[in-house]
Amino acid sequence: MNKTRTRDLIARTQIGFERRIHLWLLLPAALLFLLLTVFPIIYNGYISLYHFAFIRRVFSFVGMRNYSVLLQDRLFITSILNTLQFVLLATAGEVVLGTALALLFNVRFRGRRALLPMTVLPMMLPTTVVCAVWVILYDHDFGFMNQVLKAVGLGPIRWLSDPRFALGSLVLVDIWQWTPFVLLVLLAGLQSIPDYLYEAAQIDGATPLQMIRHITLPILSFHIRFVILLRLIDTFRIFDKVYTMTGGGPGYTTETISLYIFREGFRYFNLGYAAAASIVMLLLVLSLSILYARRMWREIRA
Amino acid sequence: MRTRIALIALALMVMSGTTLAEGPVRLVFMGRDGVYESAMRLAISLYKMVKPEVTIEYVGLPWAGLREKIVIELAEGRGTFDLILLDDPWTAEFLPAGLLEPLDGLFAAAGQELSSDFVPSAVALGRWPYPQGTQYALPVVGNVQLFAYRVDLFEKHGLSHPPATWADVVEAAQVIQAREPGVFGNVFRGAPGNDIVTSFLPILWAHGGDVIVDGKSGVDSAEFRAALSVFLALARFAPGDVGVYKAARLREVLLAGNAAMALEVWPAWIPELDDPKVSLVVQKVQLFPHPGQVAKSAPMLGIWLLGIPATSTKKAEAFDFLLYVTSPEIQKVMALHVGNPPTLTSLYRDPELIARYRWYPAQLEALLTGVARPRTAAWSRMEDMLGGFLNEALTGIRSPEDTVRAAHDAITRILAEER
Repeated sequence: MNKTRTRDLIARTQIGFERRIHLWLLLPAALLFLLLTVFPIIYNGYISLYHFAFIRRVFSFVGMRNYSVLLQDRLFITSILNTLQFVLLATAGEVVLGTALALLFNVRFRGRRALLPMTVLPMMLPTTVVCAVWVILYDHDFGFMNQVLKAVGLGPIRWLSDPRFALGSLVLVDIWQWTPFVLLVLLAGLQSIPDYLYEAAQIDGATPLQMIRHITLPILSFHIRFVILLRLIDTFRIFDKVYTMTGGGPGYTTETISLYIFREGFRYFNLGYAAAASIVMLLLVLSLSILYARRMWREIRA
Repeated sequence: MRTRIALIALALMVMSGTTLAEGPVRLVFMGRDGVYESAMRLAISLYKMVKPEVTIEYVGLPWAGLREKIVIELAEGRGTFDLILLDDPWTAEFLPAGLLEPLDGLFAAAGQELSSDFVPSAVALGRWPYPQGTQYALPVVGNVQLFAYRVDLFEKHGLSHPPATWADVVEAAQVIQAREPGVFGNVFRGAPGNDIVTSFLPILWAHGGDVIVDGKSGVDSAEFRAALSVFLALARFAPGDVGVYKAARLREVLLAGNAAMALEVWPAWIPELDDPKVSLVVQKVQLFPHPGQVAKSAPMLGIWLLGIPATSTKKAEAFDFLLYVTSPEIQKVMALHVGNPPTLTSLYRDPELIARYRWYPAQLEALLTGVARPRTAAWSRMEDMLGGFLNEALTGIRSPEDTVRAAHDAITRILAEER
């Protein structure tokens, strides 16, 4: 009896000790998180309530004025709408194309090993290089894209300077660069599906399309949802492509929230106003992500 | 070897009379990258021969990064830097805020005077209030816009040159584009923001207008409308994608011989025009100050100035280098060896430099007639707003009249906020 009690006591002590160790091990990461993420957000919220002109050292309390001015600014509203349009189009394009490519690369075929690294190459390139290449490809008079259009008897397009095409052209570049990321995540998911499921289905006489519909996609749905979440968050921050390729133009048709904040913060040094815009952007991303993530977890639990 | 010996001799020849602290001194110099960095590093290496006890550490940054660093450094008052290179529109933000050291006291302490050889329009940009106030910075890079055109094409098509007015430019662009396959009438920077505004302002100034007139918006005016009309006419004879063209693309088109005229080139780009390794238009491009219209020629000044932060703890030592780098001898060396455009009038008349750079007389003329961008702390914001609306007009999103109204309202609002 005593022996059992002693064993229990030792086990409980061990569990307590392990818990404490876990907490101590988490501490550096938690401190870094507080310092580099939580504190800047709180400080950002604080200065968003001030008129903070950094160069002239003006720092005066204005309450919610920055927010009310921001929400009446047509350029800010345009930048939100452009960003949302970009996020939806780019994420949808990348996930659809990435899924198709993952299914293709999940099948063994000759040259697959050589082709896969080439397919993922775009995401390894620095974005500035990607943009420089695409600016040349998109050139109205000398670019490859219009040469192709001419060859098939279509007129040239002003890819980056026509308001009807500029945002779509940026979306296309993002799809080209980030579809390989979706491909890799989904391919990893596909590789984890046990072969016996397909073998059993085959014995039952299922067609390849039926196997994709009833086995692959349901099992892969978690990976797909997860990668959608990652791409939503990432595309929301779109800055470098717009800054390098269109500068927000033509006019303001490709102006995004990040570019708007960059101008206010780092060109005009209007820090209070830029902080307010950052908080609005953070709230948008957070609400979008939380809504999506909650739904995703609920469905997974169910 | 001979060049090296000449440089050493020259370095030793240019000695300043400032009394400096004894013992080793370390100065930190924050400036631009690229050709500016090459020029400044050359001056620093020569200075080291004269003052071996002074070490100057150079930090070269791109345009946007430099401005950010300067603002943060000066506004925070950290005192990390002793010398900073400034693009001239920035002075309207930094000088009224008292972020740079006035040079009058340093001139007096060093027993020196401001050289009368500086190009007047360039040295005035370092003063606040502009153009007659206290001197805060000295010009070290004599950048100014020049107009470029293909002499061979103008002569081939019987066009008189250089074009005297902007109306002549439009006509020449139309004629050459119609008759010369594969060549656009003209090319310019049309991307929103600084690019398109830089292309447009010389046309506006030549039409007698300005963005700010007597402290108010000058946009809702007959001059602005006339200039916008010329600008949009020129766009019809420019590459289809000119609405996204930035400096690099403009340069490529000009060097490849795909344009008969460029509304602007800057001195740092020019040496490439006659370099057969990169240019297909060697000795075919002529440069001159921009055409006039109802007003005289008005190219844009883009002077880089050197100043000393008010927070520097080594102001006398920094000032000694400032005098050194703006001396005629060092300005000439930087021009000859790196192509840095000088800021002293006499050097644009120097036979050795003219033999090397055939466009120097035209460049001096452009510097003397050059116009500065509006001196307001809100210029960055105005430039972005105006640039956005001009780009909308260029790409057909807004009508010219709507552009004028929208730009006028935006400039009026920004000016009101500034007050």
